[in-house]
Amino acid sequence: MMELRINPEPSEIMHVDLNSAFAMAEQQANPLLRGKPVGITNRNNDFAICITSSYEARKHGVGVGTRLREARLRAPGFVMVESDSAKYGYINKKMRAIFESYSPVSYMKSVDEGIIDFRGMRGLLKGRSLEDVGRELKQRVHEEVGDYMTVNVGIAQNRWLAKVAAGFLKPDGLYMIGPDNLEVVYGMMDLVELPYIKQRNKLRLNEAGIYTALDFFRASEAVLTKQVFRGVNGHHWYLKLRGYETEVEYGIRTVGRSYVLEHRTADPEELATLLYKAAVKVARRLRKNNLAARGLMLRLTYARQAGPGEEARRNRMYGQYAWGERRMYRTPVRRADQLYQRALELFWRGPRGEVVASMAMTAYAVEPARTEQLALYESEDVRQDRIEDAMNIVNDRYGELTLVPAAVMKSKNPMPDKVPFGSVRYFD
Amino acid sequence: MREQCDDPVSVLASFAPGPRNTMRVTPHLLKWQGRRYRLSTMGLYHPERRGTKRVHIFSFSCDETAFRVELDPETLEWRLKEVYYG
Repeated sequence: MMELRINPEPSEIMHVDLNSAFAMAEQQANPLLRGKPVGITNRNNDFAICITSSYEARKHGVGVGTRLREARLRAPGFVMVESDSAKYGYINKKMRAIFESYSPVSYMKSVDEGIIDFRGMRGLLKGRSLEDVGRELKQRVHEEVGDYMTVNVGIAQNRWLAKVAAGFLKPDGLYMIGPDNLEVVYGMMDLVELPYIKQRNKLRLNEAGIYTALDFFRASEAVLTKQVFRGVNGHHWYLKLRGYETEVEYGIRTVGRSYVLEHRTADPEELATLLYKAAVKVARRLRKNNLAARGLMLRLTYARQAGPGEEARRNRMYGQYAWGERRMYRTPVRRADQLYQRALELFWRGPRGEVVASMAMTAYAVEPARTEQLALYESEDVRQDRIEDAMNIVNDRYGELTLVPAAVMKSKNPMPDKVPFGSVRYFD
Repeated sequence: MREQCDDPVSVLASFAPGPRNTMRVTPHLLKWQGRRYRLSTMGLYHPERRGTKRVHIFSFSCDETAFRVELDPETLEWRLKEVYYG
């Protein structure tokens, strides 16, 4: 099979990485925290766990999952700050506005990463290079978002390589990868430094005799598709490494909410009420985006450590016993009561009598909500749909959960909005 | 050390054009419990929605003390919500 050459197209995708976004936002807001090791937690108490940390804290080994006591021992002067979604949401909005001023094809990929696609937009740049645009963007972040805020900018031919480029010269760097320096870049990197190559993939690559990033780039398509990744995934890696775009266009694939319970409980009635609350919020997001979902996933993390053979949650509640279940249904739904019924079905399959510390509900396999679906419903369903629409109008005006079903009011847990990782749709 | 509070305060602020045709509000002086604090470093402005209201929140420091103050758009009252001692 003939080897595919490196993509000869110019580098026109920009990846912007907001360094340690939440921690930096807190250091921007409180000048006395600048230069100090700072951690962010969803609940600031003696047992708080970091969900992210500043560069200064990371240098001392304080990161995701580090408990407060341990962080104080590792990083002298460590300060833990409770997360503030309004603040981060505002910064996210300002970043989006900056991106959109450069190209209509731009989006925030996650809470701290954005993409600006300049393909076909050269005319808008008025003769400036993308490196000049990158420098200007960094300056605008200083002026329009905050003078302490720094971003890393990477420019390349596809989104994956642009992310690789943004990883160089941190913090506050700017780097471009193109056909001329692609192999040099791979020559400087370890396998696990490549985005989405973690330990498991590294072992699979090693088994095929691939030990370095350069080996990975030089591997044939046959090895990647038949030996390492098997199938289309291997083909995508082969293309991606050569600068061709393989990532699907941005769109909503899941809608979810996760909560840390202020009052941990094993009481099934309270947990059912919390499930309904979560369903109300997920339903609202689905309806706001005119979507319906066929799949539902429920995940509970419990207050105790996992025992032998039990599933443990690896990230912020490190080592906690966790359980999850998902199911795909034939009919897409978008109402809170429908999501709740499905969530309850999943919930009853889980362990009983365990004290729950956090819960996450995610609707997946989303698709545009079609009005003809309503025609298939009985009239009671149509009436329920209208009731929920009316409730959402009130909640849009006066705030989420202003008007709720009576069942939700019984809950002792307030379930304030806390920021989940990865999902930037949360800020919509 | 961080201290939460909810005290009425007096604030002297300027309203001036910022970058890209936006208006920028900058607190300069804060009067709290009879003492005056002059802003040394501006931190961040951000709004927060509470029901129908959009509260304006200003975070800044005066030497070794950082403040978080809120401006209620309906009552035009400034309130101090948090003090951080460096």
